[in-house]
Amino acid sequence: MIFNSLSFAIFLPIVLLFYYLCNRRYQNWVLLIAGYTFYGVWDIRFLYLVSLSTVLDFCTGLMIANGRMTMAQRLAPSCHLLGFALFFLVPNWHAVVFQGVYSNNIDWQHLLTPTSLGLKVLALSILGIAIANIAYPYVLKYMEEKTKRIFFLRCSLIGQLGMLGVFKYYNFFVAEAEGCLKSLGFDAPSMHLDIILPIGISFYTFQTLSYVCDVYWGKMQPVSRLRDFALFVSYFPPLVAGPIERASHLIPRILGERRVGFENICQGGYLILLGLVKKMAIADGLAGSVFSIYNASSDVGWLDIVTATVTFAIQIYCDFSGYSDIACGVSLWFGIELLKNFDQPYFSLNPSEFWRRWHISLSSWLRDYLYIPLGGNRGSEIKVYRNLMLTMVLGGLWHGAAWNFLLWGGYQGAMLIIHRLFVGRKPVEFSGTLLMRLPRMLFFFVFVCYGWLLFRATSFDQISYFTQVLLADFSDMTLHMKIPPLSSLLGIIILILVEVFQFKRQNIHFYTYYPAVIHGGVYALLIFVFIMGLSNDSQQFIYFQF
Amino acid sequence: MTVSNSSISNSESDTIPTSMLTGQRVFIAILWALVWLILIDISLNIFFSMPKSPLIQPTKLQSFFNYGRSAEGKIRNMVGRDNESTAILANAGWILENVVDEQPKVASSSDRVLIAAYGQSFTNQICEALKVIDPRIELRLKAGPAATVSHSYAYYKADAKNQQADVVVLGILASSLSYMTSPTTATINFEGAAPYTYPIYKLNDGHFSEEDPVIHSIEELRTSFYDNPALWQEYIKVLRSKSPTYNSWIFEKDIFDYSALARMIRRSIGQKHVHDVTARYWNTNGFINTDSILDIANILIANFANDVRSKGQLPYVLLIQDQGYKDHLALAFESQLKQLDIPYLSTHTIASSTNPRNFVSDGHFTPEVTMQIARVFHADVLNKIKKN
Repeated sequence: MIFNSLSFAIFLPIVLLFYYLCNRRYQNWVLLIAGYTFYGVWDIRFLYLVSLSTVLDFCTGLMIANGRMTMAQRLAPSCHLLGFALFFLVPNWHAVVFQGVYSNNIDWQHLLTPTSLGLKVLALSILGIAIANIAYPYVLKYMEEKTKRIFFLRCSLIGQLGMLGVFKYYNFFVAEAEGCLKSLGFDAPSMHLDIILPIGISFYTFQTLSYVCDVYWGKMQPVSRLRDFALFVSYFPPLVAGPIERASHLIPRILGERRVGFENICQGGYLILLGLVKKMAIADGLAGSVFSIYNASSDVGWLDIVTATVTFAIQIYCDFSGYSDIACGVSLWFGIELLKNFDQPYFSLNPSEFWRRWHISLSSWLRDYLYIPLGGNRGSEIKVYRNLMLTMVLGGLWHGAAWNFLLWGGYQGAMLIIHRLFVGRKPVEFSGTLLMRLPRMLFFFVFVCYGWLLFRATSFDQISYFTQVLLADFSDMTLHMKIPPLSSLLGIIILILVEVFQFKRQNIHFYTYYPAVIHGGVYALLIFVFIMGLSNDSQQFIYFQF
Repeated sequence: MTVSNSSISNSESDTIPTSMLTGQRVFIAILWALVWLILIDISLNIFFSMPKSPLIQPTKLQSFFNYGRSAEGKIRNMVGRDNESTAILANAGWILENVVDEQPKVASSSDRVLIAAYGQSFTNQICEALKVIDPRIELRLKAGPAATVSHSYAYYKADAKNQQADVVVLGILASSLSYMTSPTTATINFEGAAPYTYPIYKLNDGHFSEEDPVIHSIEELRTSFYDNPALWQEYIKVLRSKSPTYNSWIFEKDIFDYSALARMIRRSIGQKHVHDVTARYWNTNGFINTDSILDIANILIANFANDVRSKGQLPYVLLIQDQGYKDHLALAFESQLKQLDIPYLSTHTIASSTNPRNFVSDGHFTPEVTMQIARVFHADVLNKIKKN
């Protein structure tokens, strides 16, 4: 289910209705069922994977912190996992064909015929649970406290990263290895697995990893009830494309009292509207233009590459930050404030600042769980550069199993290192006005855009060819790129204005400082552009593939 | 990468003082938003209204804010009481059997070649390029805006007795193929609605049949608007019952036509409709035989070739793969064309449909590409009729 779809427009009011009607005790149940429905609509079978991720980190979290689990705490995850395997993997869900919001077709006979994969997974789940429960008393008896903590941390890391590795990176590395072997003259048998990438796996995996690490470091107490932890993993607004919520941020909000005030409704509504404008009016409109150059079957000229790359920079920002805005807005309607994911990244003057403004939930995650454990700023400059490079390359790889993402990560790492070489350990923040920032902003934007070229490119050959043209071939200065629709062009102008005012006020809700006539005018302009953007071709959110 | 251990929670500055978002303030702001929206709507209707006369070409912005007008609304606006007050587009594409025009019926001399082509603007442009390449070529062009294969075939049938051309061309446009399930392109291509009609060909249990479109000429259309509304209602009835691509929301005129914002909402519904229709008959792997469109098109091509050959003429099929359609027409029709030995040319072999450089902004081929296609076409045609 995607935010800019009719099905979500029906789903959300129903969830809100139940949420507001229920008392605090049942609100989490409503959100949990909503999360599973939201995810299951994409592919119901992968709910098992969400369950596995949930159960694994719920148990390891408790074992790390307490060294033991109560009977109820062991029973609940066992039932959860078996129930999910039995209900979501064993039936043949392909027999249910959704043909739209109002019609669907169910072949009951096929639906109730168990799938062999489902039966195998069910058997493995039973085996796994049996082994865990048999081993449990021995773990309590023979394993030392410290060893236990490290053992369960490793279990969590291996389990979570293993799932991520299998579903996201296995085919990529196998294909590369096969390619290498073939080039050396060996005839390797194909080990390619016919698997699809579960939507949002990188997001919820990182989210659960943050929980286990925080518990291990003693930064937070483990969650004692599976229901609450399951909601932390499957809370639907950030589930498939972030922000990557921190356990220390989201869990207290899940466990604590929530109050949905009038401000929440208004701020949430504005964020949803802004997100829809960014996504539907701007990003979706620009997608065709970028595609016309990056997916062209022939050579393209300098002007086309520059225009398409700048257009892509705007597209990816609007697409991703649009999703985050909608997620934050929807979440505010449930009284839960999510982490800020974007803070006007194109206003940055240098790579360090850019990564404090772009995909903040990922960059801060990488900082806290990778960069700092690697040594961070401590040690020699060479070590710091190594840490920076490693963090960014892995950050690039987080986006997907492809060489261009690795290259993009390496490029970001190199920019951070060069920036550090120039400014030293303690950079001085620029304190001038927006107009004074502008030349430096534009200068740095050029480097950001080249990064997006690496990110968007469809092959190494394309990167090489585009780079060559950009640097040395100015012969073709005609524009062949498909002109973006009016909604995108107007949307970009309005977005720039909104961001400028937001920057000046240092507040996303800048409009509230102005009289009602202007406040209403901002709403009206956004609604107008949104209506214009309704007729753009709907595109999947770019970050869904990560 | 920030290197400090600073907090990751949201900035304090993003929280709003409670007094800023009181119910009263927000209520007034929403009222103001409504006022602004009404003002925007009125302004758009004033500054970007369509020209009073259908003979005047609207600007791009005028067109943009009127794309969402219902197909009926657009057609009514372009049809005046007489021909002088009717838009040129409204007159285009009607299949007329006995029309008197200045187009050649037979080649003017034995060393000349008359090519009769039935298609759409793409076909016309390629044929006109032939004339530039070879002055011996004479043209008889019958086309409809974005015409589909059933229109081209019906037009050929109606015009066959009027011409003794050496070569008869049937132009098939990839993006128009799905239009053959309706008697008008306006049920799908509602943004650029053209009123001309054509028969629907159907294939039910192996039985091939033809459905009458009810309205056959601009005169009949004018009558249905001004003198005989029952005829228009009958036309709508036929569309509702016979066309799987008919959608009353985007076709029939209603109150939405009077608001610029409402028109934009209708446009989005129309786009969704176009996507649904496109997905019904085509996906990225090629055309799908929903409603037997490929079977019917193959029958039309075979009938066309048989009929043309029976008159001693050379049939020729132009498969025009416009932007995004790869080689999908060739995939759909090539095997039959080869089997029946019908000469054909698929444009994807000359100009890739995935290369934006081959197209101008309105979707047509660039003049250079059109000329390239025409050169190949010319060589092939001359070779086939042995007039080098």
